[in-house]
Amino acid sequence: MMTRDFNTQLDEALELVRQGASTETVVRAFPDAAELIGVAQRLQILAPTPALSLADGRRRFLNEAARLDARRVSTVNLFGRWLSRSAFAALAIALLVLVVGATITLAAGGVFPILAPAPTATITPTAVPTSSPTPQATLTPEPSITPEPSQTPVLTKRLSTPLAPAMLPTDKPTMAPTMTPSAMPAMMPTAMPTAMPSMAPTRQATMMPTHQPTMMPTRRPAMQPTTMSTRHPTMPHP
Amino acid sequence: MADFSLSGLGEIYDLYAPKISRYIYHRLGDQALAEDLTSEVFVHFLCSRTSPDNLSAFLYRIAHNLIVGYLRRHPACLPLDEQLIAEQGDPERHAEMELERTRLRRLLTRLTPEQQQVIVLKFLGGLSNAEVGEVLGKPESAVKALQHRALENLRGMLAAEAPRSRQLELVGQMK
Repeated sequence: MMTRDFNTQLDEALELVRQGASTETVVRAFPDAAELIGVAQRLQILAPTPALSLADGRRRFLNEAARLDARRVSTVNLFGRWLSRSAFAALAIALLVLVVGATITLAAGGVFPILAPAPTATITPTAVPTSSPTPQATLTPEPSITPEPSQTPVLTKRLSTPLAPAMLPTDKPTMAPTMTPSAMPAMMPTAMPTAMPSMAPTRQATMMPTHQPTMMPTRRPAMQPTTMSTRHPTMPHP
Repeated sequence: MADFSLSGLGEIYDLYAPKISRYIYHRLGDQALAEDLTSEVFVHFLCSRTSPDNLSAFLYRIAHNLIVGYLRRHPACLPLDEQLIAEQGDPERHAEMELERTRLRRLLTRLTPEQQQVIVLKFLGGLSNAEVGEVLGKPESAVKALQHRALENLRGMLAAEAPRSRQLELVGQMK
């Protein structure tokens, strides 16, 4: 504590001398610091310095600054060129990865039109020319979901309505959009009460294509008109 | 390198170079060396990648590092400065003053580097305690303590040399 106090006193005394106060006055005010003030005063003999020539140094300094600045500009230009090339390459690679990834993803989902099996419109009005005079009758035969004869008229009535364009297999290769409840509001209660009562139309179309042949005419390319005509030879027409 | 225009760099040099060169001169005692190292200080500043908050303290630190590097490579020499002698009128008085300077410089070199810095920056460079603290990277209280110890050491060395000086003086009178 004592030393710190003396440090402060000495500093105050030296500051007074520095500001121009006479040495005698300062020594009277700080008698303990008198000797050290004397040493500090002796050091002032070193204060005068010769006239140092700084012009050459200034010129060298500014030349060096200009040289460094020019080098920095050229470095920035080189870096910019390199960066533009790198950015172009990175962009090309990113696009390639994006396209390949999207292709693989869509193909895996079976929704890519090119990779998915082409829909075949096998159900045509000419498939059952003998069983029914109208084309609507050819769409109805389904052995698996019409086990009971009593349901047949209902199913027939439902399917006898004109097909919406969205249901045509040639228009939409995927079944999900075409089998929405809004497109066929009457199908759920009538067409599948016993076969799959709890399944939604869209799920039936995507998850169980083989169990719902009537819902997915495009997935049954092997449907034979002869079988359909023999199973429902007397399908009444509304 | 800090972003300065050439004119800005010129102003910086004009503002700080005289102080830095005086500092180097008082530490090394060689005029030509002080000029060369001053130039080196500013080239180092150009090559530095930082923009210091306190440019003055930054330049003094570069100067100090250059001085330390120089003293490591070369033994400390304190040449008699002919120019200072030429500025004086009375040759005998000039010689006495120069001897005193030489002695003080030699004693200064016996102090620790930090004590030397405090003495040169404060008593010869005219920096305040706060400025010296920024150069040294120490609080003002530490600067005051260093100042006290430096002056105490100098006083002790001067007192130790006084009898020998008195003896030499008496020998000279006898001759």
